[in-house]
Amino acid sequence: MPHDEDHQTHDEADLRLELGELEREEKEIKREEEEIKRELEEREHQELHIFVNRRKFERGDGVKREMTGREIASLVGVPPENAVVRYDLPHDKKEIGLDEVIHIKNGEHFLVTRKIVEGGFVA
Amino acid sequence: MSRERILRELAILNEGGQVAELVTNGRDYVVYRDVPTDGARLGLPAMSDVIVPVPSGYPAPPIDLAGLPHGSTLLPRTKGGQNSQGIVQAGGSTWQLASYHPHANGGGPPWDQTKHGFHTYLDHIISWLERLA
Repeated sequence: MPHDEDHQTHDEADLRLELGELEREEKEIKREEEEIKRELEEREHQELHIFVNRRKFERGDGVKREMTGREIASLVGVPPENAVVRYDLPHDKKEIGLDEVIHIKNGEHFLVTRKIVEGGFVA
Repeated sequence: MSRERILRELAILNEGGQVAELVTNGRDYVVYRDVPTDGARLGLPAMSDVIVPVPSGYPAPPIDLAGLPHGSTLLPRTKGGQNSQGIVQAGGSTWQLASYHPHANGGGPPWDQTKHGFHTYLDHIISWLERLA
């Protein structure tokens, strides 16, 4: 029946319009998500920092997303051959090898100590 | 003594969660609170407060010595801990100073007043309390 066919054509056109609208909205949401992700990555890149012996070190000091124990020791000026590097967490004081590469979490705490510690002599 | 400089140095540590304060009792001292130690391995305290005298004329002369609360079971285990450098009263406590000289053959670098201060001295205190005998 022509009347029914007209109806069907209209419905299909409406659906296509709605679909087009939904696709546009989806693209817009994806674009916004990517923008937010980029902004967060950028912010994290700029704000990346760690604490070594309770002092803050940032990217400008040499902090990177991946670091070796040797690089962490160098932040506080301890020669690697004389350094012991550890996590500084209440439940984790695990040692980090000089050539071990670890993934840095923002704001993470480390302890760097010297192997050689000398006291004064008893007079 | 440059009080402002010392307060700036201690603020650097405070940002990293290390409580450290300047106390005065005729003479000036810095007290570092709850410094981690390797004591737990020996059945001793895992943390301790530490006192360090502010040298007269600071920052020209190097920071020197370190002390623990008088009677601390950690003291005999620290390097230089059996060579008392005196008993002091400060911050409401009694302390015993040990013969520890990080910037003079104690294992640290030579003193450089443009780089070192009470913020970097914590490095040496942590090492001192980590190498218990």
